[in-house]
Amino acid sequence: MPTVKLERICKRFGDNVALDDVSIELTPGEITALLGENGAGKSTLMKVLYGYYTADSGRVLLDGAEVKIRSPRDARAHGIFMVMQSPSLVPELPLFENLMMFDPRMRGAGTLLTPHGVRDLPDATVALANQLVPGVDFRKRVFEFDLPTIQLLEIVKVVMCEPRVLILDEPSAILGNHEMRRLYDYLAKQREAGVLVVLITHKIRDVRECADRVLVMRKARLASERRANSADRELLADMMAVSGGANSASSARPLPSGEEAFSARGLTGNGWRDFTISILRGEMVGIAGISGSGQTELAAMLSGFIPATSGEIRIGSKRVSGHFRNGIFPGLGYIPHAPRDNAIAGALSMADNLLVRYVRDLPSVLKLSNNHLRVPQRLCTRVTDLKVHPPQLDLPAGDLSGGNLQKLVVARELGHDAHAVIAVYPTMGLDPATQELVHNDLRAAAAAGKGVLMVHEDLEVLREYCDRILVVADRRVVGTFDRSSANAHDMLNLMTGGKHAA
Amino acid sequence: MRHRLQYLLREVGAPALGVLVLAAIFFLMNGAHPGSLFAQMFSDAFGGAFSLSQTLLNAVTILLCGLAVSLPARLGLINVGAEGEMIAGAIAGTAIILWMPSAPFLLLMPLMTLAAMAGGAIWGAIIGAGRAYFNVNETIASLMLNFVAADFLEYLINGPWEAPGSGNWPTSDPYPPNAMPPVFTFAKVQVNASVVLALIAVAGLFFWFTYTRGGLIARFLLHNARLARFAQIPAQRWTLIVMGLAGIFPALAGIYQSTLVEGRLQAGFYEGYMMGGFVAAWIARNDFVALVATSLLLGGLFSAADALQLDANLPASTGIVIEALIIVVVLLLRTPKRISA
Repeated sequence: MPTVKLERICKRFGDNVALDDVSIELTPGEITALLGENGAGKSTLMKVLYGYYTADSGRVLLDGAEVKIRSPRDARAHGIFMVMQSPSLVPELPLFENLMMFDPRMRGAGTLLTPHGVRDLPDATVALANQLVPGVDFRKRVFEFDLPTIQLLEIVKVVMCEPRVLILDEPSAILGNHEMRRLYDYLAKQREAGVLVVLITHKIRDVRECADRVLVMRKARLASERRANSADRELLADMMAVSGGANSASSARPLPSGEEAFSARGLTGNGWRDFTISILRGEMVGIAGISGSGQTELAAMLSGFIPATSGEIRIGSKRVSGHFRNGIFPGLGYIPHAPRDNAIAGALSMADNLLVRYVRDLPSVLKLSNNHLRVPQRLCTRVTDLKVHPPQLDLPAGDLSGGNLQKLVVARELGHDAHAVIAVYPTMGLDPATQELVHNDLRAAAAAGKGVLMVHEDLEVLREYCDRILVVADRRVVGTFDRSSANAHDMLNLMTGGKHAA
Repeated sequence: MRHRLQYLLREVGAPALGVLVLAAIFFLMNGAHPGSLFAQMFSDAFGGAFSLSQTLLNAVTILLCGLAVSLPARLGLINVGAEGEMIAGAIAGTAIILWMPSAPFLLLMPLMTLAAMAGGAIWGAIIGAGRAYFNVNETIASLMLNFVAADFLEYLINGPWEAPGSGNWPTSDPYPPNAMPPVFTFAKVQVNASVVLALIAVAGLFFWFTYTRGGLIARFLLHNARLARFAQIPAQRWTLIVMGLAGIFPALAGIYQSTLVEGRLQAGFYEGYMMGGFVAAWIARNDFVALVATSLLLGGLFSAADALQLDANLPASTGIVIEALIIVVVLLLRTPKRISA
């Protein structure tokens, strides 16, 4: 089993230094958590090890001998595998065909396939997939699975190759608590088998649950390194430059006024029936549920992003449900899940992406190459406040890292006049400091008289920030809590299909 | 400046060299001397007033068909319906001419032009409506509708519009002199009215996509239609309108080609121009100004190919072979060198 050593790795992207003289050593049979702010260089460092990027300088050593890794193919030949954040399974193909394509036991053009399909899959692969996704249907096409399941299947695709070095790039950004639990168990077994695991993460919980060692990166450099048992929560948070201190936004809050900011009545479609909600100005409502319970579809229907079959939606005092064909309802901010696909055009500049909300305010004749000068000042301020990096608005939005892209969308959707905001997993993939910034921004939007609806994976966050929490399961509301009555035990119980405790 | 030069070298110099080398090999295989043939081709295309007039006539039709490709492509739509739109334009224009053959020029010319434009727009809008409201793939639909248009044309000239005594090669009645579009002469080079219309269209589209809010909206629709939902853009209406607009250009080419070149409505008048327009648009990367240059180049190639067939005893398909060589070379040069795993 190899010991991996990265020595004095440097990597630049144009003027942007991504890795500045980073040296680390990884030992087999250990799970190393790699932490850091968005854009600190965690993913880049691991992509160098995986051969996805070539370092400008520095060496990679396996068991003390220098190796040249020029491509992911080289890396895989050395037993180094990485599960990236971007999807790699073919959405249109059934799961079993996806797995067959990559299964090392089925390699070679001479492999004879029988018409049995699923039955041709090696037993080990079937067992592995069932371990991470119990009862998985191999005949289902990949796009039919929900996002967290797809992420787990991406992991299955890699670990069935029996890696000796396994790198996971922020699985907890997509996986909920239940799925992470399964992943922790699986990783623990891998550790027993002597596999070297690197887990890129933002979550302190990941460190607590399974890491042996913690590496923290900051601003392209290795900031600190310690054993996990000595790394308690406060220390880690401190290392990652969290502003610290109690949450000021949640303590002093005005009571919601009696005026309605957003409402839906009898909303039906995409598996939902007769959903009704009313959000007052100044009120923040949370939606809790296991991923795949229909939250994202509900939010997309409420915002006008996808159509509902029937029902009525009002924003402010206006009935808007007739406007569906034109897109997001007027007077609404919408932060969708998977913003890279749903809210951003990667090939266009950040400025163009910000201006998408202001197209109607622009003069009809203008010089399009100057768009970065045309972004409203308050939007620029928001982009700066959220520390979107790099800050040059004329760069393509697709070059931003996942976290920074998310921040760009948050800035845009909170930065324009709206009666209400709908946010779906608004802090997914963000570092703790920025998560707090975004949560406080949403809270501030409520304080300024907007109605806010937030779908969130973290019950603690929902309890801290929301006035009211709806618990959903299987495309139904199964419970409603207010701030005083919300407790994690009851909510979890409902989310997983139990009866309301009260 | 240096970047500009490098850009031109990469975009124009390298492909041109590649095409010349491959074409030379092709000529040698046919027992012809490449050097003198190239010189002959150049003079057939651009040497002298007659050649230039011919080239311009070809080029403007290619340009108009190219616009029908480039405009939808700027919103991510693929239109291969220029042929059908040329035919629709020619039929609509001819209908007006046959209806009032003795109308004065000043009435007939605008009416037949507008009718042709309307015909092309409706043809394009059918494709656009399919895409926008019924989720019909616009590429397939536009391609298939070409056959429908061609068959309808055949029906008309073999049936209701057939000129008495036109025999095995049926056509409509010849157009009256009043239906001939104006042709201007500059230094002996003939320029017909459709050149002016095409250049106005190019200028308008360039302006629209570079200096207007509509251009920004088109960018959103091209790069991520979901993003367009954030701008509250009625994407379906845009699809319909743009496909309709795109149909106007080949329709103009259709009626002008029929009147100026053929003098009557007949089968096959449209052949080759849609492919020419597609190649021109594609080499120009859907840039409207670059499209003017690539259309001229291909128009020249069309003229040269006609002349080569007559003078150099080369097969009639030489032009098509060279067109294919251009596609292959540009395709090779534009393919990313390495696709990372």
